[in-house]
Amino acid sequence: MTFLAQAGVLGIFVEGNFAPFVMMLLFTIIVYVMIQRARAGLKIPEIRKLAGLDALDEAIGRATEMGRPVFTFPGLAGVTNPQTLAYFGLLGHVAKRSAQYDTRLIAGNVDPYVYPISEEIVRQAYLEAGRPDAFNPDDVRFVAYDQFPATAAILGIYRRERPAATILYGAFWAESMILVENAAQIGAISIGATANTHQMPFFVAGCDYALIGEEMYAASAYVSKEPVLTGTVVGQDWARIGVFALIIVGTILAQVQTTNWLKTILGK
Amino acid sequence: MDGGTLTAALVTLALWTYLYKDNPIFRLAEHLFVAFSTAWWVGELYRNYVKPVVLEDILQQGRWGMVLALLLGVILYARFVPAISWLARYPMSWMLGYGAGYVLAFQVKPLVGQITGSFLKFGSINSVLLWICIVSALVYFFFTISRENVAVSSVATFGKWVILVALGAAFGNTVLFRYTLLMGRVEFMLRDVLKVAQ
Repeated sequence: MTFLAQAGVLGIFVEGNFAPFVMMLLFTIIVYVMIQRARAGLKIPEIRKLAGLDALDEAIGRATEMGRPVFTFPGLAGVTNPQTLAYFGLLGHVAKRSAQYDTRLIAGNVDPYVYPISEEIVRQAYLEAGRPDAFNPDDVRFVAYDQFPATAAILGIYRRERPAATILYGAFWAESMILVENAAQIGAISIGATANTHQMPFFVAGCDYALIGEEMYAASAYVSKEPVLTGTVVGQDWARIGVFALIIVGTILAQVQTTNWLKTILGK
Repeated sequence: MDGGTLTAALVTLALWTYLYKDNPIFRLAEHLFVAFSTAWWVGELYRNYVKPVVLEDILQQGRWGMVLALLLGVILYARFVPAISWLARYPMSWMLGYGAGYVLAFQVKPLVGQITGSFLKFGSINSVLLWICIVSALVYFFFTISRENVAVSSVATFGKWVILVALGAAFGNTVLFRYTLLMGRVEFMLRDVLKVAQ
């Protein structure tokens, strides 16, 4: 890596990033192999049950029965946040189900880059569900480009449109508790998912179903049951097991050696 | 009382009316909040992004490569014209690709730091406890290993409790912080508006 960095190959190699680069390559290979196995119809491990995701269809079904809309919101982060990317995967499923059940979907957005992508995903989902005529672009909304104005606007949507199900899925900050508490006040079933550690407690306390951390990244695979997506999650899980093994080995070495060679290698 | 303080006091009271129920006064404050925020950001984004790119980068410094970025931004608006709305998918694909690439490039390195930080030398009960908590919380997030195995299930359950205890502590901490925010607003109303406190 040092040689490549000094040679200036493509200008993309940086000294001190050897271990992250190798780990990224390994993770990519594991995920790729799992996807290929899934594509070929070979057996891949199953994902364990996740109650929050099992509740998605129940929430949309409840909204259908009550004749009230479903509300989704990806939090405040932009497209460079993995949580937003996870939301995109979930939004497609929720929009498709809403179209199939003939239930109105309102998708709020804060980030101006996330907004057109959300709209396109919802439009595509309605098309795939065979109901392009039911898609209403006004229901994919840009609420405001700021934390609390957006929160105030969403509270307004809650009070006036009275969604029967609220799905908060992404990166949240101080607005999380306000949103889940108001969802409870209007009698909406709420599903919350975030990997922002400091906001997880509010989702756990205030939502009917909460997904924390890594659970939210498994969403699109879990709800769609599509083998290729499942292969991705299985690949990620194997990488996680690899990390677990590294921690065990590294900790054993830390007890018996003064200089932990594994730490030295990973630190490079 | 100056106009700014009076406006702040009135808007604060208008927002507090929501504690009773949704009402026209709250809605007025809500719409003012959203409108001012949007207007402020339009000005801010123009001043910090559009103006420097068009006036400085392109016209003054002749960095014509920036025209491509500008073009991609303009094409985003194609979605409002049904005949050419498909064009907007190109900048959107670009943004998604950029997002995924950014995540790949910058999310792995902090992870390595977390892994090496978990190689704890057991010198105290605290370090042993911390390590057990890290490992068991990690096991909770295994999706493909069956929970029918008693050992895995026990460690994962312990991990779940570790996570819940941590979340409880974070919850209490944040609730206290929210109280300080409320106290700040009450202090503003009593001291700056009603002048009944020092």
